[in-house]
Amino acid sequence: MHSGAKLSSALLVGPPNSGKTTLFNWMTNSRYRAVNYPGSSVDCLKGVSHARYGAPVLVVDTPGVYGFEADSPEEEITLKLLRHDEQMGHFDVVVVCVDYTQLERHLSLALKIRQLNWPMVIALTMPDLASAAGVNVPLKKIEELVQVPVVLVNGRTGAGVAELVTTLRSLQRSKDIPVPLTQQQMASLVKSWSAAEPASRLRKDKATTPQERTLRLDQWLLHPLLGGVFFIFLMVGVFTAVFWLADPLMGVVDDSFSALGGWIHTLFGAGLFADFLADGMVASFGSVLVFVPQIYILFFLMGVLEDSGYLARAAAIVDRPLDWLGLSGRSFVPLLSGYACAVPAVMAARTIRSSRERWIATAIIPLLSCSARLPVYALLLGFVFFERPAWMAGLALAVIYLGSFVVSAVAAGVLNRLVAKSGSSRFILELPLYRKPHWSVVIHGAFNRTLSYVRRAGPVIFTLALILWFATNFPRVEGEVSTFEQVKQSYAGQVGQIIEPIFQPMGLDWRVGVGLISAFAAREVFVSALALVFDVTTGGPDASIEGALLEKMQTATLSSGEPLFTLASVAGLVVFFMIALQCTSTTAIVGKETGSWKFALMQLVALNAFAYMLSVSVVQGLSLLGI
Amino acid sequence: MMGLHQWPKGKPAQVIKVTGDESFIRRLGDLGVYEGVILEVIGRAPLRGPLIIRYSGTTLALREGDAACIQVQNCPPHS
Ligand SMILES: Nc1nc2c(ncn2[C@@H]2O[C@H](COP(=O)(O)OP(=O)(O)OP(=O)(O)O)[C@@H](O)[C@H]2O)c(=O)[nH]1
Ligand SMILES: [Mg+2]
Repeated sequence: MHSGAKLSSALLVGPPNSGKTTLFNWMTNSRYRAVNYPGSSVDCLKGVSHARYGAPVLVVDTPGVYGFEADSPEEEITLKLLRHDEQMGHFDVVVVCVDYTQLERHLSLALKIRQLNWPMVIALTMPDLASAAGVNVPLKKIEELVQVPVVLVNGRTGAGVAELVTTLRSLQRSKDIPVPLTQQQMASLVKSWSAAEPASRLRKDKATTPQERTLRLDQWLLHPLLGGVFFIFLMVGVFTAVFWLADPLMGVVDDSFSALGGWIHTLFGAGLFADFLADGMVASFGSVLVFVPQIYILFFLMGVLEDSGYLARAAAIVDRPLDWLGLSGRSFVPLLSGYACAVPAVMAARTIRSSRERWIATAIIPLLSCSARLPVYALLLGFVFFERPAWMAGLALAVIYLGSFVVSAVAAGVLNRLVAKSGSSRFILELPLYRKPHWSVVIHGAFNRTLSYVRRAGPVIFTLALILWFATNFPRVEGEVSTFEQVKQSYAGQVGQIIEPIFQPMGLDWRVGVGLISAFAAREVFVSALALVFDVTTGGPDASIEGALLEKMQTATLSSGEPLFTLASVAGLVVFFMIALQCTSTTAIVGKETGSWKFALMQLVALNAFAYMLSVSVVQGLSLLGI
Repeated sequence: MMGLHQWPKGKPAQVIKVTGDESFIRRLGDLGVYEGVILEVIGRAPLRGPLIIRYSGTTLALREGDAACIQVQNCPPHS
C-alpha cells in the first residue's frame, strides 16, 4: 500500500436496530454503543477496517432509516449519503444490513436502495436469532431474488465479517452496479417474495422462539395496569440504586482527594505552593471526579434497560403523559439522560422526530436534576439536617428531585401552550425483541459516555477552579492576616462585594455570591468555591472537605451579625439551583444542536432570571413567616 | 371495515387502506404497514396510551389517532 492510493470506502446503511453499529465495531475493531433501541445511533461513525481483514477499507456507520422519507435530522444525513451527495464525500460500495428475522421489511428497503446505482452487498445479520425463530430462507434464494451478493454475518461472534470485507473489496474493483429494476419487476419481485417467505418458515415449537417470548413478556410489561405499576417501580428502583450504589463510591473519591491534599500539606508544609497544590489543583480534580460514580451508574442502568429492549417499551408507556406536555415517548430517553447530564441529553434529543417537540425538550432538559447538582444539594441538605438521621436528608433529596420533575413538566406544559402547533404530532416506535443484555457492550458503553462527560466538562471545571483559587489568593495581603481578610481583599472578594446587592435579597452575602458566580463554570464548582472563600483547608487525614465546610457554615454570619445560612436562605439556594442554568457546556451544546445561538442565550437568560426571582420570593416569603 | 383502534385485541386483521397525509402513509409503508398486510393488536400501553400491534416479525407502538387511520377488516379465510 503506498500513501498516494485512495482508501476504498464503504457505507453501512439499513433500518434502525439492524446491527449496523455492531458490524462496524467488528470491522473496525472498535467498541461504539450498539444497543437494542431503534435509533440508537444519531451520528455517522468513521473507521478503518482492522488489519486482520487485509488491506484497509474506510467504513462509515450511519443512523438507521426505514425508507426514503426523512423523519428526523439524523435520517436526513443517511439519505443524503445514499443519494450520492458529493458534499458528504465519495463512497465506493454500500453495505445494506438486513435483519434475518425481519426479512420481508428489511429486504424491501434493500430493494429500494438497489435502485440508487450503488455497487452493493447485503449483510444478513442476527443469524442466531433467525435460527432460534425458525427462519430458514436459504441465502441462495435471497441472492437469486435480489441479484446482489449476500453475506451472513453474526454480530455476536463476528463470523462472516472477513467474507464481507473480501466481497466489499472485489465489488470496489469491479464497480458492479446492479441493473435497476423496472416498476413491474419490483412489483413481481415483492409478490414472489411474499409467496416464498411464509412457506420457508419452519414450524418450530412456538413457545421457544424469541418472538413468542417477547409477546408473552409484553402481555405483562405493557399491561394497561400492571405495566404502569411495573414502570413506576422500576424507575424508583433505578434512582434509588443510583444513589445507594454511588454514595459509598463518591465518599471514596472525596476522601481520597482530601487525604491526598492533607498529605501534600504535610509533605510541603505550610506556604503558598502547598496551598496551590492541595487546595487549588487536588481539590479541583476532586470536584470533577466526584460525580463519576453517579453518572456511570445511571448510564449503566440505562444501558441495561436499553439493551434488554425495555427502554423502547418505557417510551411507549410514558407517551400518553408526555403527550399532554407537547412531547411524546420519543423524548423519554433524552429526558432520562438529563438526570445524568444535560449535555448527552441534548444530543440524544436528535432522535425526536418533530422539530417542535425537539425544541420543547431541549428547552426543559436543563431543568432536570443532573448529577452536577447533587453535591450542591448534598452540602445544603447536610447543613439543614446537620447531625440528624441520614434518612431525613434522603427524603428531602427525593422531594427536590420530584420538585425538579414537576417544574420541568410545568415548563413543558407552558411552552406547549405558547408555541404554535405545527401539524399533528406523532409517535410511532418499533419495539425490538427482548434480549439478554450484552454485558460487555453495556459496561463499555457506560464507560465511554462517562469518559466523554469527564473530557468535556472536566477541563472547564478544572480551569475555573484554578482561576478561582488565584482570584481568592491574590493580590496577597501584606503581613500576618487571617485567611478571611485575605479572601475579602482578593480579586474575587472585591468583585463579590461590588455585586453583593444582587445577592442580598436572597439572604446571602458576597462570599456565597462568589460561589454562585463560580458555579457558572459548572454547578459543582459551588462546593469547592465555598470551601475556598470560607477557607476550608484539607486538614487532617479523616477530615473531609465537606465536613469541615459544614462546620464553618454553622457559624458563618452576615455583616449584620445574623446567621448567614438559615433555613430560608438555604431553601432559596436550593430553589435557585433547581432552576438556574449554570453550565457553560450545556449552553454550548444547545447552541450547536439547535443551530440557534439566540435560542441558547434566551434559554440561559430566561432560566437564570426565573431562578433568581423565584429564589428571592422564597427567601422573602419564608422570612416574613419568621423562618 | 373499521379503524384499527376499534379492533378487538388478539384477533387478526387485514389492512384495507391507510388514510392520512402522504408522508404518514409512506412512513407506515416503510415500516411494513400497507394494504393487504395482516396484523394483530396485542395490547395497549397504560393510561389509554399507544396501541401495540404486531405483524410479520415486527412489533410497533402507535397512537390511537394514527391507528384510526389504518382501515382493517376480517382476514380472508384462506390465510
Ligand atoms: N443476537 C444477535 N444480536 C445482535 C446481532 N447483531 C447485532 N445484535 C444486537 O442488536 C442490537 C442492535 O444493534 P446495533 O448495531 O445497535 O444496530 P444499528 O443498526 O446500529 O441500530 P441504530 O443505530 O439504532 O440504527 C444490539 O443490541 C446488538 O447487540 C447478532 O448477530 N445477533
Ligand atoms: Mg447504530
